[in-house]
Amino acid sequence: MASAGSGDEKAAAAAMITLISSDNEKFEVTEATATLSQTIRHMIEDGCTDGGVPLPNVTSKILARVIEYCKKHATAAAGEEGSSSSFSDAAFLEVDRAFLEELEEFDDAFLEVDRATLFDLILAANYLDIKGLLNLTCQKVADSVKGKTPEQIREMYNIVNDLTPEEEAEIRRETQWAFE
Amino acid sequence: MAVPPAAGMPSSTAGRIAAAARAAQPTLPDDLLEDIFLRLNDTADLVRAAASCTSFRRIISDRRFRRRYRCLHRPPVLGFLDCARRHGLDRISVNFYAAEPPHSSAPAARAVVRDADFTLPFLSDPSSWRVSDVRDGRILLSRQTTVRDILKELIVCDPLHRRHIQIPPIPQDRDYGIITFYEPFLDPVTDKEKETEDDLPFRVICNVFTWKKIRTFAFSSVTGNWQGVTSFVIGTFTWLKYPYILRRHYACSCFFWTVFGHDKTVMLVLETREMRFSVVDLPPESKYRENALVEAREGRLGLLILGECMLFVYSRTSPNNSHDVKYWQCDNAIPLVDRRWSFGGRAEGYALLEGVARNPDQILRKKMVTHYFTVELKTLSVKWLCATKSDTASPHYLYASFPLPLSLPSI
Repeated sequence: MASAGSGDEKAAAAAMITLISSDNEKFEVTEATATLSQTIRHMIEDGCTDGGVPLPNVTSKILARVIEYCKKHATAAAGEEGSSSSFSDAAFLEVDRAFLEELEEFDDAFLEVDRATLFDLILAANYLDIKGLLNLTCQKVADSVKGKTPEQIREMYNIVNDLTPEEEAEIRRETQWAFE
Repeated sequence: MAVPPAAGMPSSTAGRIAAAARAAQPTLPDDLLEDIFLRLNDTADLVRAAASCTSFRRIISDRRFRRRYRCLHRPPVLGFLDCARRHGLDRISVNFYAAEPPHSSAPAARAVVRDADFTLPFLSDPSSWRVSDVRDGRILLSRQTTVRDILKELIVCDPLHRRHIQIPPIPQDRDYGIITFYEPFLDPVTDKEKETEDDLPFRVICNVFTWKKIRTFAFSSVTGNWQGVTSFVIGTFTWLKYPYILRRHYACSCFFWTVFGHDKTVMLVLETREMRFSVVDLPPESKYRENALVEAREGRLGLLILGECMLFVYSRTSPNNSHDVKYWQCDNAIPLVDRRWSFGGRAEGYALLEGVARNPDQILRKKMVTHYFTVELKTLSVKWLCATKSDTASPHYLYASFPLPLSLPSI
């Protein structure tokens, strides 16, 4: 919590890390933002971030979005920690709720992307091991499938129907109840 | 969401463009697709996703995936079972009362009606058998003598996968004294077992009553043996001498026996991890009223009490060891429509409520419709399940299961 070792935290917050996208674009971020990624956190711990962290699996377009997410969530996390010692419980809960609401709005707006971007974000979140972002993006895909027919799912995600007519008939026969 | 680029074009061109678009777009590896599919709470969504393409179908039909899904999601309640002699027939059969529309389980319940076999064709002399318990998709059947409840045989069956298995007899010992009652029941599968085991092991527990003592035996499908696990001296708890007036409940890794329709406000508890008996107080409000022990919010022990058109929800605030009645608190009271209410069976996460229209004329009652409702214990939402005219006094057991393509055999 914030009461312990706040001097160290300030020093940590000031430290900057350079992230390098697959198309060689450089992004300067604070360590607090970068360490939302477990992958980068481990690299920092191992002391192999000098000269920048190359991320060959992430394009600049996606990395910019990922950093946008991490910045917002790192600020929120820091805000929560900072407020815990200086507010009464009720005030803290109030602040907490405001934070959460703002964060939720941010997340909703953040997910307003096309399918390809959403999949790239999932792949990046997985590669960088950012639990919150992976959770958010996977849930978005799951929610979009709810209540949809196989045809609608294929259309939404550009999936080729590679099932043979026999397989399709078998599926319908076995699971007719799900199509009623 | 991305609009398919080919909309409205001739199919061949559309196909080419779509293929080009696909090639340019990222696809997700299997483990991430699995993560997404595990988030689908409604099994119908999962089944429809599996019908989209071969790779989705392959991922979802994988046993490992089904096992993981089973750990994360409770099987839906599809209806309830009772065991009754069908009129005109000299055989006992298990009747399945399926959820009806508009209940969300109705389509899956219809699938189970089609796929499962509740007629128990493997039983010889079917009239001598009765249902002792239903849990985790299994039915425990026992064959008892008619004069005294002396246990002869036990069978565990899985009606959906049409399998059954005979359980060996409980070891006998002359030292037990005169046995007055056998109470066999199924021990629930734990979450940990769901995670690690493919073909789930099962355990049958049996309380053997004499005038002085309850002896508890446990059968494990892994070892294939019975073992004496614990016992309880009845002593001054004379109500335990009449086991047929006891009602069994399960919640929070414990079995509970309450006395039905009595002034008793105590219950017998069997803690299944340590296999230890104790006697615990119930709140005085439970006196003469129907009650059901359930798992309440935050893993606490909960108690449902049926009042006059009211469902009272209690929970116990102290952890486990304190038996004092002051630790019970009333959390909620849910008004019910004007009917004669009672509890039917319970399954993981649900309780079954039965409501009959009030009518003083007992003769008319036979023709009256009983309405069944599920109470989801987490949200306390009460939902109409189905209605039936049959009027059996035999106990009802909620039946919860995934429908066939998602369900794994339980035996």
